[in-house]
Amino acid sequence: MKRFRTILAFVPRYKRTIIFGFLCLMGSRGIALYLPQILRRAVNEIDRGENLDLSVMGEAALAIIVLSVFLAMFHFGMRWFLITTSRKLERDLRNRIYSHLLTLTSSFFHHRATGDLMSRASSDVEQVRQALGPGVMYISNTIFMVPIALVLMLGMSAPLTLFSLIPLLGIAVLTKLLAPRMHVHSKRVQEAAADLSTRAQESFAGARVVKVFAREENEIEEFGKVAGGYLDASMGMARLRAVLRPSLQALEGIGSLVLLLVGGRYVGEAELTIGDLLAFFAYQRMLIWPMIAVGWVIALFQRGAAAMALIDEILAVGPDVRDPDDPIEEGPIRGEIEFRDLTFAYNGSPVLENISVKVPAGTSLAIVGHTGSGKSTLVELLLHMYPVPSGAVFIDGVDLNRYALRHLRGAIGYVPQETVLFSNTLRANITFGLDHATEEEVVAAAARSRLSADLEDLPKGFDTMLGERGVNLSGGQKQRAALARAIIRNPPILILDDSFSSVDTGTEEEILRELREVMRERTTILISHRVSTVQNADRIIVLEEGRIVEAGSHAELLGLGGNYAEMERLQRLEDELESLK
Amino acid sequence: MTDWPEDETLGKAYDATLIRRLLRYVRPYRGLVGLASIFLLVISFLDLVPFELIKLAVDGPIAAYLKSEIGRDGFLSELTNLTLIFGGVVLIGFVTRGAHMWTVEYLGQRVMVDIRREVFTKVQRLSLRFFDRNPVGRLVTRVVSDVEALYQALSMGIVSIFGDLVKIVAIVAVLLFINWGLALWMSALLPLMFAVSLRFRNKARQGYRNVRREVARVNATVQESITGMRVIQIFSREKRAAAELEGLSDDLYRAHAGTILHFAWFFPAVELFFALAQALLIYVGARYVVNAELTVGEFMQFWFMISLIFEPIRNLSEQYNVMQSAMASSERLFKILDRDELVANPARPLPLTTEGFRGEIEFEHVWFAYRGENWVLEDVSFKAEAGSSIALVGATGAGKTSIISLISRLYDVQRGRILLDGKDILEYDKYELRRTISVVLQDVFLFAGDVLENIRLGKSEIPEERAIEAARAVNASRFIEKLDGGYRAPVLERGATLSVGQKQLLAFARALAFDPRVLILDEATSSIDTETEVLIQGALTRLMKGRTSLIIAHRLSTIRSCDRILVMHHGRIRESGTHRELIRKDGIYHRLYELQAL
Repeated sequence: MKRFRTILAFVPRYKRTIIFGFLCLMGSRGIALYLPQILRRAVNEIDRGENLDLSVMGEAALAIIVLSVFLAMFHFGMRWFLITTSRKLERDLRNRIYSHLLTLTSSFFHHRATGDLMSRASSDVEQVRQALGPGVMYISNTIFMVPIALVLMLGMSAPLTLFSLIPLLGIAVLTKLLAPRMHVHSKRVQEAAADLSTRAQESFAGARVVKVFAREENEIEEFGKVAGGYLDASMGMARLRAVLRPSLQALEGIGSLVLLLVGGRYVGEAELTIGDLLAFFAYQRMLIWPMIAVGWVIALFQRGAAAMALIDEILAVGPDVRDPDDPIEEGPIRGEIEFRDLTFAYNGSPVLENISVKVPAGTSLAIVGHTGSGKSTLVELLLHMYPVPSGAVFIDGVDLNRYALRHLRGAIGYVPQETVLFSNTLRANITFGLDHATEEEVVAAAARSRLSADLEDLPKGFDTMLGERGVNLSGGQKQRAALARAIIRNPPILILDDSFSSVDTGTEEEILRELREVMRERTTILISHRVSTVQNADRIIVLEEGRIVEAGSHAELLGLGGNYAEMERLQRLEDELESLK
Repeated sequence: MTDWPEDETLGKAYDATLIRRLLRYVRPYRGLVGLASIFLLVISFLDLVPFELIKLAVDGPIAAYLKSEIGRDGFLSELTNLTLIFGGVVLIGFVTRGAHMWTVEYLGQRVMVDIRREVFTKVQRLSLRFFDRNPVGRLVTRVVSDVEALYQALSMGIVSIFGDLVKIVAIVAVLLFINWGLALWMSALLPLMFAVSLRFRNKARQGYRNVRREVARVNATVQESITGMRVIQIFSREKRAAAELEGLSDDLYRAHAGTILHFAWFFPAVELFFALAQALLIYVGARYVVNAELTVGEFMQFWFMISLIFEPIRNLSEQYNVMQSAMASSERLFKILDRDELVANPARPLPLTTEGFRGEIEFEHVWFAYRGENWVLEDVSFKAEAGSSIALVGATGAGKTSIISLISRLYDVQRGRILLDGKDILEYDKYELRRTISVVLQDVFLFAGDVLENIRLGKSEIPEERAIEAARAVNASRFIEKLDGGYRAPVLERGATLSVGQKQLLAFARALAFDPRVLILDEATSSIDTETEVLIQGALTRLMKGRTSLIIAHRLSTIRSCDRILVMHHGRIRESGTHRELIRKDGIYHRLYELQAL
């Protein structure tokens, strides 16, 4: 149980419900165990044949009905209180994992597959719940029922109790032995099914190649083999099941057989009544499931503990960027940015070296350079997405590390290179960074981002759902929506990280013209491959392998005749080629 | 959040046409079906025998011995005899039950493999246009999940429905036989029980659907947040994101609570029915006992029987859903099987023999679009003389790849003709055509098998020596011999362990081993280390010698070694000539050259 510490921490909240649940469990099991006693008396009465007392039978029937109504109520309460609690615990654990993930930084997500994190939050949580919900319920059931049943059976006949226990123990041992093997087989079947999907996926995705090489027959043959592998795995599972189920059934049969042989003899010798014998049959049947549960629950606990360990591993990771202990007072930020001899390494390899550049408030800085030259990292440091060395980055003359994250990021409008929009309405995506936004603000932001015209194509305008289950925007539309999301916050600093790659040049120019108006009072950082985007910036820096190799205005850099000038020349050629229609 | 569309629309659980078509797949396994049915009947019978034995014991030797009608020895031997029969029943039941489970599973799995292979084969034969229209994910679902649903219908549905019906009928029959009056009393409960089970099933199904929908929403949100974590943090949305998920989590909890509720009333309801049945048995049964119409053994047998009848009733109500989803799946599968989007093959194709085949290619005013009138190729005409080499250059999207697709007949042209040795390619057998032309694509296609098999592409008529010779000629032998196992080294995960350059060389070896008259090559754009680059260039020259070659070229050295260059731009051939001629022209080629965009 110690291994479930993380989730057990949520248990006290539901103490009362859980106590009710267990009371119901005891109530329902108690009645269930008492019912055979009534049956026993009735049968003994029946054994008197024609002399039986009808009123006794009437009372017995009535007792069974009345008690069963209570039994049903308790049973309902047991399931309701206990299982809903396990679902609540599951919910709490999932929320805990999620809110923990929200605090973790890029360095965490970089080397972890989304699929792995997803299984932590879904299937692993479910495994933990299965151990704590049904697992605990069934094992409590066993623990509560077995001793009482034993006492009741012993009260009727001690030797017969011993005999009837033998097959029951067999059932417990059998499930304990076979449950893990069942799990192995079901894993194997899952893997074979995954192979099947992968194979079909590869083959269909490569349809073109398959056809060019006239490889259809071989693909079909290969797929046939994989399908055969799935059959083999499934049959492996089936063989085990074909042993397990009949064995359980046979053990149950042997149980009845023993009762008939031994019990029948006691009845014949008048050491036991016929009612006792039927009660024995009833108890034996009642105990079969609790016995199966023993083996089954052990397996559930093992799997749950393994899943819990994986979850705990994630929860143990702390964020490497957090709010400072004494942040500077939250106030308006003007937007002066300075990098002072900034050197930054990621995972031991240097990404930025000796970067020094000052951007006065209200001016613009453009960064150009090849992929991997460190452009994006530079602005990500400004956003404090990675730990920033102290004394290297300043905003309004104050070290970046002294700003609370919310304060700092609230002052920056960021349009990322890869546009991420969420499956929500367009409006919700635009107002993503705001708590409240008026209709006018949304309309204005959309207009400035040149999104207004596209709205006509969307079935519900701003309230159109985006993403997988809604409308898919084009690359350019997505980028413009991301721009609207950034500028609606009215930030003193705007960062555009290659944000117009999918927007055509004409529209880009319109947007930039509009932005120039908006950003007159603000600081802008522009990252781009296009000369047309950066040429009007107050200052341009060229990055190469993490170092600034050229810096100056458009005219100055052209005069230098270096990287920037070459980039400009190639750009011109490309434009010429494009205009050749 | 707006409504999430429901993926599954379920219809009928029984559709005669579909069932008849499905049964065609079962026919080959008639023997197994017969065997399974026999096993089933035997089990249903054996399951009831023990209770008859108990009754016989109670009313027979036990009662007799109690009344001292028989002696101790007689009593014990009779009791032992009954127990021995009981033991036999348990043993035969054990074997038969195992055999039945195995047979049913095997039957279902075999049929599933058959259908799966047939669907996969069909999809393989469909034209590329079909693939353009159907997302890969959807096709995978057909082959995997939909076929699985059919299996469920077969091994759990049909067989189990039959079995459950047999069980119910058998139990009721036995009860009627013992005491029809009491049995009728008890039977009054049956329809009620069935109704309750059915109601539970429907409620539970709705509940499961709600749960599935909410799970999908939670998972989608978590997944989106993980991929968009940076944006969430940059826009300081952490608190609201957490609150949103808590909201969704609560919804999911409520959906779960809904299903828990259904189960929480259903199981007690079953217990209540059992109690009701017991009370009836005691109360009404007592009257029959008084009139000496029911013995205590029969009473016990009644008790055992009513405890058995719940399971088949519950199962039956469950099968309805299995059948429903199976019908929906089979409809989707048959839709694929009934498709005929094929690239047509001529009824009497022209022979394509190596002898006398020259390999002259000609495009005659070819127009082509993937969709409607969005022309990818517009009025393209050119002729590649037998044995000559042509380099195709142009920016991405200029239409170079489409030319390759058309020669291999992955698509058919809308207007114009493509001629091979002066005959329209539509007149040849398409597989023959594809085999005659060697195509080397950018992403080299390697399949599971060893290196040698990958060079011979499963053509056993290519002798091993020739394959190895080809590998040597294109400089592939060096790296192959270094592999663990050399030519017999297995290719893992479609060649993920090999470098781009190595794969390219392997593809060259394959092309050379086939010794085709026509070579089509899409040169890899990815950067390759200089050493390999030199090897590749040498190999390429050897490969092109004496063959009609059409090359989408990205390297200047490759382009220069071709007899003629065709410059594609926006779906048209805009320039044509040798490298020197084109450079002098100061047109598109010149600019591409300067941009290093060749």
